[in-house]
Amino acid sequence: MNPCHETQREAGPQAAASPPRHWRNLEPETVYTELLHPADLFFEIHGRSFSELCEHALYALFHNIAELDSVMPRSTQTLQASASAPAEALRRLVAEALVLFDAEHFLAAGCQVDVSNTAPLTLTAVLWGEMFDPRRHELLSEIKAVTRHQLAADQEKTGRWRATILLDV
Amino acid sequence: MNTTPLPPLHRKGDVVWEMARTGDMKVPGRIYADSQMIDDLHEDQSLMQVHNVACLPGIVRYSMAMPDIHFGYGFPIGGVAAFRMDSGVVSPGGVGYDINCGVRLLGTSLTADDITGRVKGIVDQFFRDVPAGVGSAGAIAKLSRAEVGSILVKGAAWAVEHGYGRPADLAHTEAEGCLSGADPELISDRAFRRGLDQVGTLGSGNHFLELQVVEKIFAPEAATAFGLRQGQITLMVHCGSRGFGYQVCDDYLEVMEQAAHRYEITIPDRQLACAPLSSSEGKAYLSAMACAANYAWTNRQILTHLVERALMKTLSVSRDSLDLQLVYDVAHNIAKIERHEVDGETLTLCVHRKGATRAFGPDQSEVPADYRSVGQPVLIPGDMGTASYVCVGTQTAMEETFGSTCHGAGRVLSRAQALKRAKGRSIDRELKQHGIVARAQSRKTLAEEMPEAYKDVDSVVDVMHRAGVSLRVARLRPLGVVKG
Repeated sequence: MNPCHETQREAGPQAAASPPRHWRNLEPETVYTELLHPADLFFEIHGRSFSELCEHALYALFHNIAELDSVMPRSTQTLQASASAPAEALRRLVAEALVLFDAEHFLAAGCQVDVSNTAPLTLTAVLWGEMFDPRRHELLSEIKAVTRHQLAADQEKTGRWRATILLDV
Repeated sequence: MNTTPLPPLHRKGDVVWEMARTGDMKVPGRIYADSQMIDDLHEDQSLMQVHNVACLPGIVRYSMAMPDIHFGYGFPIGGVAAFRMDSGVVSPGGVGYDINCGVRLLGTSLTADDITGRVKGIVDQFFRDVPAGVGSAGAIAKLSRAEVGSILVKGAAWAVEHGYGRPADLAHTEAEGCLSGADPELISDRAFRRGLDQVGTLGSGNHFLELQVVEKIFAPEAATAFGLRQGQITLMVHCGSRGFGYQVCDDYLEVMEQAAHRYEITIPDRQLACAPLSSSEGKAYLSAMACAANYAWTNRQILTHLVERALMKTLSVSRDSLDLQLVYDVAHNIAKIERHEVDGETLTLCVHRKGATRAFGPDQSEVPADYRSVGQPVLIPGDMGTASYVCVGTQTAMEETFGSTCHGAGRVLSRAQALKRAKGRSIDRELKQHGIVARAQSRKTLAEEMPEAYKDVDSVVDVMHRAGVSLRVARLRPLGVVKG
């Protein structure tokens, strides 16, 4: 038994032609709120669409891993995650981004997420960023895992999306 | 989280409380705490987690909590639960993400006088030579997948074979630094990728390397057996299985969710996902967990080598004259197959210790031969501004707690609250005023780990001492600390 869920990754060392808005231009409080938790990082995340919610969740992850201002969009990495429920698909995508940093030391500075609504729900994220360089990048928190605790992703009556996600530190 | 009301607690002794068995609970709960701790506990969800664990199939005697209990995922941190092999379950949530997170204590020939005026130099050397923080690569060459596979099977013996430490170190390591049954074939590609370059790294968060002095001896006979004396310089390493272990836990939480469904196990909390110990999923988790436990023991063994080398370099002393000795290495996030006496019958059980330390008493074959007459050393790290303890396991622990005790101080402030309190303050300057040199990769980590973010370690250790479960042997005062 080798545990493996539906997540894939493609690397692209080439410079990205047109990266999306750099995360340094985002105001964190417009993207996510940190909720009170005794030991770990617990976030409430918002988005106008499910794809924007996923982008904001990836931002919340990397915003807590490193100071993002100095991360440049020099190359791309593509991640894919699937699940039947939006919350689990989101969790798997963020978890895969965490592995990308922890194993490959890739820091993202922006991303774009596409959602395919065919069953199972499939998320494809293109992340723009670069490899961690201890001389230029300041790291903040070591994140162990993206937990399933109080995990949620729901569309509100307004049409906006809201998620809660808890990172074990 | 379910909405069941918390069952009532009844005081059963000076520091022992029982949670009445109600509803779906298979056994009562048992909490070791003083009155103040119990009052504080009513404000968080960890007591409900004691209740939830008591609902799992095959649990024996009690769902237990140590005085450093705080909220965890599924099981509380500071939780102990033992399950029958035939009818019980194993749960990754009962071990935690950092599989075999643990503590190792090293004794030296040095006294406090020997390093007067040199503490900063030593801490700076540790900071340079021991890879610590987020994203740090190992101090040893990047290993191949096959080499990591060998580590997963051999544990700390792999490190000794490759020149990191001495064979004698293994005798003073829980399980001699290797759990049997480890099978690398059960490890995901993600876990391998996360683990390849993290062997020989300390990690971040609450992990640390600390330079200490033995401030007080409480039990001379046990202290002598452990090679500890007042005024002696010691070193403590607190870390675990790094990204490798985190990924193993995450992978198997998913396997266990499906297994719990397949075997129709009702769980009150998704993070209590589990599988019967007799099932293929349960056996696979134990084999994968053994891989991560062995990775962690190898990691701490290599860190010992790096610490020794750094100390020899800074103090210009030989290995013989430094005489670094491993006092003990003990896990505090693990599930072990052990034999315990329950109601007059000897049972083979799977004992989950999540934020709890094994504390075997005298005459147990698992305790190193040279410590067997006094009992197993128990290492309890405190916060970086107060103290850590060496205690000793007892027969009472064997009878009451499946040979288990507390593991540390336990957080009282959230990271966000700690950061708020640290605003405008310099934590390293405050520590310096107390004679402690602190170095950290990130100021944020130092603030999050500030001493007041933790419970009072003296009180936590005192509860288990009064309960007779683990007795105080020595108090260690920090002189210098390296945080990731």
